[in-house]
Amino acid sequence: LEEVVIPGEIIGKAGDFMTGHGTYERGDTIRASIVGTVQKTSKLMSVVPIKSKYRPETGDVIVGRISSVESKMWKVDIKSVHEGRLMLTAINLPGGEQRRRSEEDKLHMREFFAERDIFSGEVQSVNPNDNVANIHTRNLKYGKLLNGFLVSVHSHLIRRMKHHFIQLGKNIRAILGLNGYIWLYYDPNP
Amino acid sequence: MARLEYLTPEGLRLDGRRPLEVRTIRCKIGLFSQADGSAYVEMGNTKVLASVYGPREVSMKSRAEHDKAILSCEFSMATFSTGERRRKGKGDRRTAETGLLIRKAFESVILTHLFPSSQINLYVQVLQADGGELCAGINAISLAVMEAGIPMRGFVVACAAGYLAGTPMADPNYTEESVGGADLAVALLPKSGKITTLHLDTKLPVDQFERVLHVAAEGCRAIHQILRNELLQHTMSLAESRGVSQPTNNSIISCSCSRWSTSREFWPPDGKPLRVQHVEKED
Repeated sequence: LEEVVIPGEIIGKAGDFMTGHGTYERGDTIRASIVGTVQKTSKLMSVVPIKSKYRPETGDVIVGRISSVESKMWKVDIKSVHEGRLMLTAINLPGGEQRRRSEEDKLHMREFFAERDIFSGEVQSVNPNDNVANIHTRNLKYGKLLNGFLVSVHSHLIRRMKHHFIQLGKNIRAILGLNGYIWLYYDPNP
Repeated sequence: MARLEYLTPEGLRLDGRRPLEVRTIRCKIGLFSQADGSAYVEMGNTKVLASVYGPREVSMKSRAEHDKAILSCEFSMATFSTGERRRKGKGDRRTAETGLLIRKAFESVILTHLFPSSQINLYVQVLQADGGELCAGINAISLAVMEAGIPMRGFVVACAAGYLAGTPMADPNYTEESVGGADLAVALLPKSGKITTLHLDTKLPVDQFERVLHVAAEGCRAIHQILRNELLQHTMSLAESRGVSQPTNNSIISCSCSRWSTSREFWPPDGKPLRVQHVEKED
């Protein structure tokens, strides 16, 4: 049985547990700071939120939308607190070229991804200070997405699975981004 | 022309309430899918809508703080919210002040240090104004911030108390407010009693201040019970739909099938509040 708590409620004693996500310490008590269910794992007390923004983790498959083009990188909307970063060095050049990115490439960034483009990628790393995700598309299955539908759902509804590129029917495919963006498209050659 | 009796000899106010009684509270959580958190609160005839966006990227990079999230609050009143049609919904000094007070009420409570270089926007829209808009706004924002999953130290609840006919009165309505007597609005964390914002309109005799403050604080606690129940009900139904099993805490007063939860805290004339029957986790 899981206990639902709201901010300010006491969930444990400070000495017995370490404070995890969704909790804070006050005096000698540990209290919940968000609405959610209490999760006790050995010495760690945390509260799993009922609803929260997507928190990127390394290895997450995501579907993102380019929000701006900066010098040597793109800023990506991934429905989390901060926008993700897609570095120029983290994409596959068309034609599968493997070379150092030059100054010329910097000037032609919009040819790869422009504003409002949708693409699939993977979280390479998450900056521990500010939780900014660094995204890469260095795999043939990732890249710009065209001719399909973007559906936005709560990130809680997408579980971490082995395969995020799934087949829904004979020709219909979906990419389930862990951040809550789902890309549906028609594949003429199944 | 008969003069208005703010307190009849029987001890009843203009709308039939007792001096320490707060108005009927109704609330609804999670109205908008586009906002990160939203709530609607009715306190008597005052109706306010709150929505919260954030934490998200700061729109103006110059305002970003490297170690915490910046908080902003916009308070506006719909043109149809007051008796006479309002020309300007926001941008005047009164609404700017109210917005500032709401922001101050949450600045110390929201754990902004967890979201460096980001911003949290609070929006309050008054749909119908019958007194106590600041308090209703704070209550609605409290629910909305919790619904958004933004970490807070506790549940901020607000209630006002007026001083009319020599008596402190809890939660004055528009008629009682417009008399020109003192109006003390208090926002606090009910369990610890710590005050996050306090606003006094006009003047109050110093020796009466403690009394009026106490009445407002007790009004806050009464409102807290009702809002807390609605929040727990809303959360449990969400948790159930996600497949999380039922909780063990027994602190729900009533479970109603209707989508509104309404209740009234009624206090007997001797001034002692009726203790509600649920078990509360105490400090």
